[in-house]
Amino acid sequence: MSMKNKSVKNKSVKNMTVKRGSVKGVQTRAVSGVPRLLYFPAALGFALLVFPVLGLMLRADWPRVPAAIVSPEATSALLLSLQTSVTATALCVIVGVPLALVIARSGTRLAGLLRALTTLPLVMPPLVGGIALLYLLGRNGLVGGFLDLAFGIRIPFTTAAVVIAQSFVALPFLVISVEGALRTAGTRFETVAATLGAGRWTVFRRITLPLIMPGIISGTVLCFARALGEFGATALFAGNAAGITRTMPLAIYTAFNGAGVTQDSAIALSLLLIVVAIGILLLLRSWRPELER
Amino acid sequence: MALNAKLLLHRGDFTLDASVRVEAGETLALLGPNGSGKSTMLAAIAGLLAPERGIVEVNGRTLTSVGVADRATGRATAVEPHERKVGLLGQDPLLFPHLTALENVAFGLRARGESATSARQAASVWLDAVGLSDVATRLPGQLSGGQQQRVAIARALAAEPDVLLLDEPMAALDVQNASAVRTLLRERLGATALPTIVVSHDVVDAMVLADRVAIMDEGRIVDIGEPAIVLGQPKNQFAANLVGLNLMRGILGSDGSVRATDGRRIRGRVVDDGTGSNSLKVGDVVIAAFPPSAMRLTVGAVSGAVTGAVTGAIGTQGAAAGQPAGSGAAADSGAAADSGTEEFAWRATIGVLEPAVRGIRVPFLGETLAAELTTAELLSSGAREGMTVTVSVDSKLVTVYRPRNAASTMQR
Repeated sequence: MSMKNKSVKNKSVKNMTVKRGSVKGVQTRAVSGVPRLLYFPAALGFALLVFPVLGLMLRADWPRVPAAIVSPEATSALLLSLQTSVTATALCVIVGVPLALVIARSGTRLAGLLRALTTLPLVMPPLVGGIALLYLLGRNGLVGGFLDLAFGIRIPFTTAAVVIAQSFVALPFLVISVEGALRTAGTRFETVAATLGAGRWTVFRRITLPLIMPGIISGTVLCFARALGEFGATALFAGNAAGITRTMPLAIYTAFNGAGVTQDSAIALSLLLIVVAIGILLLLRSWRPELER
Repeated sequence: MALNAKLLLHRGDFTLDASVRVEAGETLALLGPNGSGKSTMLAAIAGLLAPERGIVEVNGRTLTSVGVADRATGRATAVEPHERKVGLLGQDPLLFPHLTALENVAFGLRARGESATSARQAASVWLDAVGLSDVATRLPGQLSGGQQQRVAIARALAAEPDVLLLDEPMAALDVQNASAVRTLLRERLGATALPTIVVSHDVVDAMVLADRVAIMDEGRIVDIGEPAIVLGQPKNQFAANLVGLNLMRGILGSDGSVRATDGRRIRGRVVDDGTGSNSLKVGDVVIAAFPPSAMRLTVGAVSGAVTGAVTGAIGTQGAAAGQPAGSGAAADSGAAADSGTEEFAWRATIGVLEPAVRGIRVPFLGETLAAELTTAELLSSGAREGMTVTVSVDSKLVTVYRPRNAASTMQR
């Protein structure tokens, strides 16, 4: 009892010191203080990111935006974009999570090599990726020639090509995100699970997957956003056929160049894509609290 | 059920070379300094590390068998960790953060193929056994450290292991929680017939939980036996520090005194080492152990109560040999009576004083010995940091015994 009183007393003494505004108050101020000089580049960076979008919104012919958005060209492109992006994202999750697991559990050197190769599409211009895909899967390509001869399957300039191009550029985002989550989670829980009698598959299903779920979700969102915005590789490998390979970015490009739709509809379509992107961002942020838990 | 392990493995410069046998229902406490190989040994038994040579057998079932010549099959065996039925509990409870306390406990049973319902039923019995049925639906993040460790104990035991390995299970807990968990472990281990190894830094763990104690040092088991013997008559410095005793190794003299290699002499009571087979003879290598509180310090009036041999060894102050030692040594009246107190005192320089449970700990420069005095004793002695003082030991508190043989290893 006396001990308790003592500790209470100590606490109140501490509080008094804080109120007098010594150590604690000063510390708080120091932590929140940003050097004034840094506000300038920060504002510049913010402007660079936000002003173009504002410009787009100012330039938009708002009364005609609804009509442009619901035009057959726009709806067809949006639908195709969503279909291919969702398919590509699903594909990326199916192959990307296992790939991330293999990288994360490899030895240091092998993991480094695998990681470098996996992230190559990130640093590669998408156009180059498109050319590479064309030479691999094109009719004269290494795999494409075989597919054509053996099964009569031709991939380039089909909707499948769109999905492949999107997967090619989007997969690294998922793999990096998931591998990071795997490294953070470590193997300690997996080891404990094994000593409790869980085999590898059970450990993966009941321990590893739930632990890295936040990483998978944020990786999936990034992956989907990248697939949705994909242009370069798609243009080269899949072409620009309305209803088959003309996704939103290609429709915007086409509209901007004056073929088919007008520049106004290019802006309207851009705004639509921005709205979808913002929706994805909000989705990502709504998952964040889950990540904290 | 019994655990039998013989292991040899290298990790960098470190070599683990140890054999241990733990009977059904027996708990062996594995004590040793950091990096002595305790955790490595547990990891090898659990199958998380592969030994270069060795056997791990539980209840006659071979879990590991590598490079052991006299095995009939000659084939290497390495059962996967999840098929070993070896439970491992560390200082970090490592509860699965996405599962409730109940689901955590049920995990092992479900992994073995039990239905979710029956696994949950068994798990709630276990949660009850560790006194936590009221937090069954909480996630680990909502539990205190002590509660988490209790759930982890329930989880390890619910998986129905054949062997239990506890790696400093109380190390991360505060004193109160540690003793609660220790009591719980004693109850639970008493209720099972599992061979158990508990690694610890804490002598209390060994006293409360263990039937036998093994001391590990540099990858080898250097002493093993009943706690009363291994800890009561420590044979190495680590064990001595653990129980708070000073050790002096030396040769038994004809007058029953012990002469250390540096010439210091000490008197004490010769005791049996529990094997009952020996009687110590003059010239035998023996260990003298005494608590720090048995040491007396004298300064001031004494011009130097130092024998020639000790002067050579410590080599500091000029000493007038033959002069009687001061009042501190005189307090040791029993010893002073027959053979001259000065022979059993020496000079040493006081190091940096440290707080101790009963007062102040007084280490001596360049020595492993340390005295412990109450503050009043230290003040009245006049001794201060950096002073060279005369040190003597109350012979009534000194025990003299034979060092035991080292435990068996794989390399001979």
